[in-house]
Amino acid sequence: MEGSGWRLLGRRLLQVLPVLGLLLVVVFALQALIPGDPARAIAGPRATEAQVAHVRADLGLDETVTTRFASYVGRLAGGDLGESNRSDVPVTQIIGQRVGVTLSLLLGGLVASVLLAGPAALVLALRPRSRAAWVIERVLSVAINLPSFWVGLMLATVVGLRAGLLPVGGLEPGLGGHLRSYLLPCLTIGISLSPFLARSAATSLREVVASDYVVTARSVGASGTFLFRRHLLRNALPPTVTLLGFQAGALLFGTVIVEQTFALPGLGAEMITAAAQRDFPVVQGLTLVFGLGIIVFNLLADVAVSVLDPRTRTA
Amino acid sequence: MAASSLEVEGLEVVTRAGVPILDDLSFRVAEGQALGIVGESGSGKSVALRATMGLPPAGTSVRAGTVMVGDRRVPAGSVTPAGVAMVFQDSFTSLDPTMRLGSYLAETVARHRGATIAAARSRARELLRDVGMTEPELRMRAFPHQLSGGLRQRAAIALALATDPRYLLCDEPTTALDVTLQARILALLKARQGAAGLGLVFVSHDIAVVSQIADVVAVMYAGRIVEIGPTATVIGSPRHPYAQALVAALPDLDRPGTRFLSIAGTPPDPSEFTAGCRFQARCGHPGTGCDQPLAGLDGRDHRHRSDCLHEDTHPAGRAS
Repeated sequence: MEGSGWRLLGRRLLQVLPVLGLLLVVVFALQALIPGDPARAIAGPRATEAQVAHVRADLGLDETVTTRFASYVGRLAGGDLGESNRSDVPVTQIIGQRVGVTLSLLLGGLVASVLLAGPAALVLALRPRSRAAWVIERVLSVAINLPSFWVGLMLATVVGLRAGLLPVGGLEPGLGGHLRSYLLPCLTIGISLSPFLARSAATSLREVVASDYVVTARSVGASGTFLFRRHLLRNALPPTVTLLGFQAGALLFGTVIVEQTFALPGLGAEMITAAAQRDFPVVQGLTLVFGLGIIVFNLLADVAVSVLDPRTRTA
Repeated sequence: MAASSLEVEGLEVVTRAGVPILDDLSFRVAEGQALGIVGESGSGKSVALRATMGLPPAGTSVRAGTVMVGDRRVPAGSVTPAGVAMVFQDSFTSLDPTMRLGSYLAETVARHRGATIAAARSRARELLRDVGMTEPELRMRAFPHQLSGGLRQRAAIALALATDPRYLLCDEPTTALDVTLQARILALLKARQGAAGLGLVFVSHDIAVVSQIADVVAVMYAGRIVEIGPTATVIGSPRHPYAQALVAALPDLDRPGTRFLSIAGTPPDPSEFTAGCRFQARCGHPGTGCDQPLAGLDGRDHRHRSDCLHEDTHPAGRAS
């Protein structure tokens, strides 16, 4: 059984390969989709035709599409994502400097949404007729429709600026400063993600509570936190974890907006700056990273589900 | 009373809307004895077991009654009275899919005996051997979905036995199995009954299966016991028209080619329960007084009786 866990991971990685290939093609094709001629953009508005042609040859843009794609993949394999048009800094270095902020946001956002959604789901599933459940249901209906940029702005305005409790822009120095700076951004992500999570978790928890196997578990004396930990949670989690995997894209998009709102130097903020300045290599590199992020996120969700539910391991 | 017994008295189960599914049901089983409860679906037999365990089906609740385990009195509705365990109908849905058999058994043993994990695991292996599993070490590591139907039902019985019960409530434990497996599981339950002096309450819609294992049979119809008595007498000379029809519906191997008998109509919905005889609409020979309120039989008394006012006037063994 233990060995098959690794085999399963191996098989999942194989399944990822075609997706990865597709991602590379799409990211490569971005070049063609972007309006304007990159060679002319680099050479500048006053360049002569000859200069533009020179730049074009320099960039290898006069080669056939397949040759260009092959050399693009080749450079990627060597860890080369090109350099920024603005600063000549390698794109890998730009990503390296900023990926930590985005990962912290993702992790913090996930923690915040679990902390918000968990108790809500418990009340909805276990005390469906209570007053608290009624209130939570109403709050969720509203929260599920709140756009995250608005939530972020509201939090920044009310908690950050009016009350002056927390920083609303950039990262304060030191560990404590970092934690304080991440609090509102992570809460923003948590608020926009948790309604989905709470609804999904409550639904699967309700199903599990009514299931035959929980009746059996109670008949042999399982109760309280033991029943919850051993029988309810493990059975209720897989559908929610799967949903979380599907939300990967929304989550990453959320970090882009939140980084912009709270002026955090992460990948998302860099993406917006680069796009505005037509810094194509950076946009391309970041798109690739975001795509990879979604693939990895889904892979993790898959693995987590198979750890939780033994029935999915043989499939 | 010679042997210690499980007594259920005045069990009343109602739906959320307040409609009674069981009103005033009582039964008794002694240690080492097997009580069979027969009835078609909707007769309340499964509900009676679930209510005894304090785990009534979703949407229903226990309104009244007491459960006596030996000389301990438990208000009906309290969850899992000590000394009583239950085996459920469908082992495919009734075993937790995320639990390895060994852990599930060992944790249950540890909870009930206060044993160490090592001692509990060795007891778990013993339980698996008791229910006739070969290679218990291998089965300990299995998840329910990796077991065949027969093995799963054995596992479910082992789990119930892990609580060291004196009484085992079996809710159609063989219905989901083929005939060969049915016979094996029945033999297993009988062996446990003999070896451990377990009191069995065995519920089934199949009077043939019940007659193989039960010392006493109670026939339930629409939430009431309509006939009760020693198995041989109830099967041999049923008195209630409903019991007669059930017995007559048994296929007869000595006379192949005869048509199966069936009882016309369907049992009433709990919302249509009346105070009088609830079988009269389907009865072949209703007489006067069938509308008079009936109390239902007290299942703690195992002498052969029926609930029919006219039991002496219709011929035994043949219903219309």
